[in-house]
Amino acid sequence: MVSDSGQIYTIEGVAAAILMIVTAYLVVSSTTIITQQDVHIIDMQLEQLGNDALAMMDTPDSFGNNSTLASAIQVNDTTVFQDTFLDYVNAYTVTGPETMRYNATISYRSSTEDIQTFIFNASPYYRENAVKVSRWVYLPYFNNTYYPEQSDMRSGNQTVLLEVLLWRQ
Amino acid sequence: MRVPGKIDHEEGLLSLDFIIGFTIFMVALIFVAVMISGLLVHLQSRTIDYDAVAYRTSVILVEDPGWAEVFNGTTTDWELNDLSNREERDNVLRLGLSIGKNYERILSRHKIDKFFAGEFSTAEYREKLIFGDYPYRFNIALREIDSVHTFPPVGDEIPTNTAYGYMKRIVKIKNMISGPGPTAEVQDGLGLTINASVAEGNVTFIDVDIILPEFYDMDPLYRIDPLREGIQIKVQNFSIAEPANLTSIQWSFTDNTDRGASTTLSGADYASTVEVYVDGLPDSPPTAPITDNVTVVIRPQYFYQYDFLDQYDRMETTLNFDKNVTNQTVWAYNYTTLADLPNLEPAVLEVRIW
Repeated sequence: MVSDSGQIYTIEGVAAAILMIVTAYLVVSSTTIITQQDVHIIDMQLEQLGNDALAMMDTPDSFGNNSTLASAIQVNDTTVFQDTFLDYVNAYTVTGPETMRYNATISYRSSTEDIQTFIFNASPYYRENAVKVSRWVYLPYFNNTYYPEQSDMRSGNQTVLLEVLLWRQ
Repeated sequence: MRVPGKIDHEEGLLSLDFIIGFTIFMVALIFVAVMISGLLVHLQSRTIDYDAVAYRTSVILVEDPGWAEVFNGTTTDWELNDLSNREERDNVLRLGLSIGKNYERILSRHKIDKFFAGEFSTAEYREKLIFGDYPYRFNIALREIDSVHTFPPVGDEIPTNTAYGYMKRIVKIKNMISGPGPTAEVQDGLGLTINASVAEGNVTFIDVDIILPEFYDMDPLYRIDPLREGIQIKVQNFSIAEPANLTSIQWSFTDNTDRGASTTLSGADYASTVEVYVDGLPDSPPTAPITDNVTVVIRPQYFYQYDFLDQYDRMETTLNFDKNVTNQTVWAYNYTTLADLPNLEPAVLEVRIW
């Protein structure tokens, strides 16, 4: 039984509801919501620490010499790399030392113009919360006889990418 | 009997149409109200982000060389101010430890010495380093990784049961070799060491020539900078059988436009920025006879009085004695004759704010 009476309030109610929802939607979609990213501050501290450590390892201590990092990579000396890097990241002033671990990989351009990657020095990684820092390292007069397992590394001046995954144990 | 279309005011009934419309409206209103109030919760923050302040403070310390006002402008050499003097402390606008604007993480030994000497008050550290209106508590500590030497921390004790903002930076410290800097103790081995030959000598003066452009040719990380570190000259190999006296010291500089100055150091200089050690004992102005060695130290604050003195100029220091001391007319003060610059030393800086 359809008649044309008794519908004015319903129509008004529906119109008012639609108006409110559309307005709220427009307001919400035009504001940006600021959220606190507390969990990322720890990542930023680790990342800055890793970057600092790699940058300082890559600064020669006296004029005309190679940096510790370049020398260690040139002759495949993972002990020097490990000792220096861990000394730097675990250093402390007043409280006790920390325990950081890392995985270091090197990417290079091979003699066949491919990009190859190999693990330089690593600790077992059980998927802790980690950050990755990287640095381009310039290797002057590089001699590939120090890397017998990477037979396609070129000799001569080159730049390799060192990536270090860093986490707190 | 009811007449359709006529509103009955006496029965207290609402029409169904009104109920339905009103219900739809109320449902939509409640939905919008709940949604909007949920959005505003996140915008109000009651906590201060101490980690951000610690990070910012560490950046200023490690990546900024600092800023100070001087009589003819501004400079990054804030460490040349005499910090025991309140006015000169006020000239320091920002505390930073880096050697220069583009040399982040390389810190200057002199700036570190001045920063950790404790001559600034807590309020001054806040004003010149931490900034902001809130009275932050802080603790800043620096430790050399290899020698394990810790500089005395600045600020309050680290709290044990309050959360604090924290930042750790790895840096390298550049040491000085030309002189002891603005205020540090004089050490043996810095500067130029000259062996006098009294027996074969035929001139009574020792003339040390310092060509500053030669020094500035070097990368700033490995540079020796007499203008900022000062000059130290040690003359040794005197003997007790033939003691000599240092009668006067002349100092001059010339620049490439032939401006220059030449003075004989006077009592006022010996009282403030020039130090003489005869046989290891302070003696400014020099009066005692020299039986073993004499060390002359000119602090970098001395050069500040000369407006036109900069890294393109040439300086000459002449030590006059009362008898023949050498047969070499000019002694060079450059990278070859000075001792080797010590290596950059790694260190760790920790900043805590709460």
